[in-house]
Amino acid sequence: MIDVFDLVIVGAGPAGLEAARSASRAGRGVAVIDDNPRPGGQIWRHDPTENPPRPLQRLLNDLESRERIRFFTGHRLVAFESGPTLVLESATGRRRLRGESLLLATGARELFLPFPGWMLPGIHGAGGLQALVKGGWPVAGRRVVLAGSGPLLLASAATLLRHGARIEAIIEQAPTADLLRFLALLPRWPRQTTTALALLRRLFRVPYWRGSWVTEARGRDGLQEIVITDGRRERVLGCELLGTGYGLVPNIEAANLLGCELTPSRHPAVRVGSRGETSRPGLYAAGEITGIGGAGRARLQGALAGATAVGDHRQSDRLLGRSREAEAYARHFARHFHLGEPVRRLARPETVICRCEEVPLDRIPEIPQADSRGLRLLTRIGMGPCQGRICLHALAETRPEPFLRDWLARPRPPLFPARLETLAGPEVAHGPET
Amino acid sequence: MNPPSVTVYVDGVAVRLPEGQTVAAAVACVNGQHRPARAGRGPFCGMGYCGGCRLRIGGEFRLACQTLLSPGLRVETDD
Repeated sequence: MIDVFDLVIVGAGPAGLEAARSASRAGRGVAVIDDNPRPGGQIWRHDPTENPPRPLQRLLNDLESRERIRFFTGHRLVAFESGPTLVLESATGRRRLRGESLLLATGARELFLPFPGWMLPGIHGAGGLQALVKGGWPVAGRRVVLAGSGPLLLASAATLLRHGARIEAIIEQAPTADLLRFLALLPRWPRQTTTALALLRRLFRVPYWRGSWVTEARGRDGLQEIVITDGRRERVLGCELLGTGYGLVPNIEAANLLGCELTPSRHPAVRVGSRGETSRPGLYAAGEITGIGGAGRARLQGALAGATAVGDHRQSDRLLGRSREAEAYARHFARHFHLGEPVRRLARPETVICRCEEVPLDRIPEIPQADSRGLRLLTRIGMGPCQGRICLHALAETRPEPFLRDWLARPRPPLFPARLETLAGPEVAHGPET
Repeated sequence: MNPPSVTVYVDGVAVRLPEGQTVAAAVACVNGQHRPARAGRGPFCGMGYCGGCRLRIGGEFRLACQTLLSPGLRVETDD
């Protein structure tokens, strides 16, 4: 059996939920799917012992009052059948859905730049560590460093601090001058300014090193210390946990598998028109998968694309004007948090690039042509559980060859490791719902 | 917000945590952050795509960071 809806939305973050609200306001039947157990995406992820963020609560209250909306949380999109019909996997089985229109709001993930020792236990993504802590991961009394680039380091530090961690330092690769230029123009976007000031206030006592980066992590069975440099002097700092991340890259895999046109950037995004239309008819995209621009932009884009996808042009016309200022913020952000050259060259020959298959840098040959298939056969890079979501983007920063572009030109299902019965098995969910 | 606590078993060791927290958290409480899984690498991305926290949870391989605790849940880390 295939459940059919007017609109199927993949991703229950800011963009997906706003899209659902637009479409359900227009009286249409909507399905929202997300692999996380609860709606909210990454930015609205919250500790179950705390109240949900207010904008999420308001959105969910609004959506609960609508009749024709169904949530499929804990369901991961793993493949498409013709139509496209979405094949989903959950803890209890598989399910197939189809929409008159499809809207992808799959968000973004962190960009990791490999450095010696980054495989040690105790090292996580910066946003990843924040997410783990919101899920109850214990950090009270632990010595923690957040390192990499971008405001996510601050947001993560604030969450960890609230959960009792000792934040030894936040290490930002962008130089002070860039950060000051970023802050100087920030008041143009009042909401972002309020968020930034609130974060800085909460982190008042935490050392914030600019123009510095972690060159190495050391420890026996787990992280014990890190080496930090500003390009001139090195310093060793003891810590038990390190959250690292160099900004965000769009989760384009599903859109790419459906043949949506991508932008030509180093970490491609899905190319959309002003109302969220992709290059494929009936297929829309909103939020971070169309380019990194934050939750405010994602909400606007989601509302706009959701209305457009169900043909509510009056709603979509009304929203169109407001999306421009959000675009300007995205550009402002990208300009001042661009990655410097040194952080791209931290991996040594023996440093593992592909975590899943443990492929070190020196086993990855310099192939002048963009032959990702050859590279895969030779090294198994990108063939493990994450399917290249981490290493190929790291490599795109490290090496000039366009492996990533070639890789994306040959997408193959499934999108994630899946059970055989999901891809070929019975159509209805098996076992009791958990 | 004070959700009720639930008891789950990590390699047979009982741990009591608020309902709605993740299996990843329960495993870290029992095994420590540096040994979150004896077989796997442990959580890295924290949001469901690196596959590092894949464990046998309630008999099925699932991602510990995306699985919420439920009463009596059994988690095996050394499969």
